[in-house]
Amino acid sequence: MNPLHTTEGLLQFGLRDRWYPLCPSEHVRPGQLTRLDRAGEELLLWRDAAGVVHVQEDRCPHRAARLSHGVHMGDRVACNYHGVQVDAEGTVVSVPGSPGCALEGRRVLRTFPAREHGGAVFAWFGLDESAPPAPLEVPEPIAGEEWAHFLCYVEWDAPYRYSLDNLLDPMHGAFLHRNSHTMFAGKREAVFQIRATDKGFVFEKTDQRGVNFDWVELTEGGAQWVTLDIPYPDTAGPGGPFTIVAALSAISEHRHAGFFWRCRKVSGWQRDSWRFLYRNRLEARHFAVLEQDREMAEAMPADAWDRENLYQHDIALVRMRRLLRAEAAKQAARLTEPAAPAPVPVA
Amino acid sequence: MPASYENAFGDELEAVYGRGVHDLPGIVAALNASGVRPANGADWTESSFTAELARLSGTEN
Repeated sequence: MNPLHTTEGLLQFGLRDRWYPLCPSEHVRPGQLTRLDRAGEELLLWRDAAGVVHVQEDRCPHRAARLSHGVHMGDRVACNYHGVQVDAEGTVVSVPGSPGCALEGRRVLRTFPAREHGGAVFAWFGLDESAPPAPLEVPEPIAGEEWAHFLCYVEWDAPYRYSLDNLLDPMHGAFLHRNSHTMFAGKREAVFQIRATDKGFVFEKTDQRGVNFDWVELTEGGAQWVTLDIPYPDTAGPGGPFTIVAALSAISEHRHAGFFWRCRKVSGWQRDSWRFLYRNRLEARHFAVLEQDREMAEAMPADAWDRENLYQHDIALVRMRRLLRAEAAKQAARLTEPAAPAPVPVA
Repeated sequence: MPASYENAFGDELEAVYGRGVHDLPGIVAALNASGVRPANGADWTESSFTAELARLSGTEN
């Protein structure tokens, strides 16, 4: 059975009816065919002559050869095996070896709605591929004019779920990152509460805010976003806290892509100052902190979720896993339900 | 401009910020009390400082 039709498979590769970031925009270069595995799908990415990005299945509708091994023809892609040409809508526009054959004019290449935001390419993976996508709602720190941001893109040898756990676990900041430039302060003991929001929840310390990694928000909807703040020391100059907006995409069961938009609400010369300091030195420090997370996530045992003893600090993980599992089960049921029987004609 | 200048400027800026000086007049005065100067060797002014930040931030790139 297709793993994407099972609860476990959807949990491993990512739920459907979601937008997922695929890669930084600059990874899809004009005139080139880019191959990516994301969210359980084998993808071809390319830009048309106007620069608009397209995301399609990397599979020629003729004999399943890799279109990514083909030829970029501006407004279409030609398979290198037998020359079959497919356009951005997924329609076969030419079969040079057999002109006029039935394949011509048919829309047979799976094509995923695609957008670019915040320097990344996103695609919609719908449960029902014929249904239109939900709007891609991008969080304010990425979309807002008053904010500045840099996208940090990483690929880790760990299931995306370990990275999601890490983001929903603010307490590790006070331990794993205790010697970092941003998370050295605050208490090592904390009481947390969960507060429901329209599209997810906030997990926060009850007695400390703005000192360490003290809260995190999970937003589930047309996409899954995790947002959190980390206070900056005075050396970072004027402006608000360091805000991270994160989104994750599975590459395989054991590997994922992480998108960390590093944001700050700053404008004018303060924005320029942050951008300069970020490039000149903060980026390296932030990356060193992220490397601590990577080392921890990549070294986790494969059965981490099966043998745990969770405590009060982990209620956000429990909530998140329950939400995901319930939605995955619902989607799997929809994908495997037998087709409705044809109505019996009334005599 | 060599990167060493950008590093020296970054060092001095972090040091000034680290003392809690986050206002424009205060920063300009503190930078002028330091050894770092703009390329023309003149004292910093608010406009030369903000222009330098705009250049170094890469906004125009």
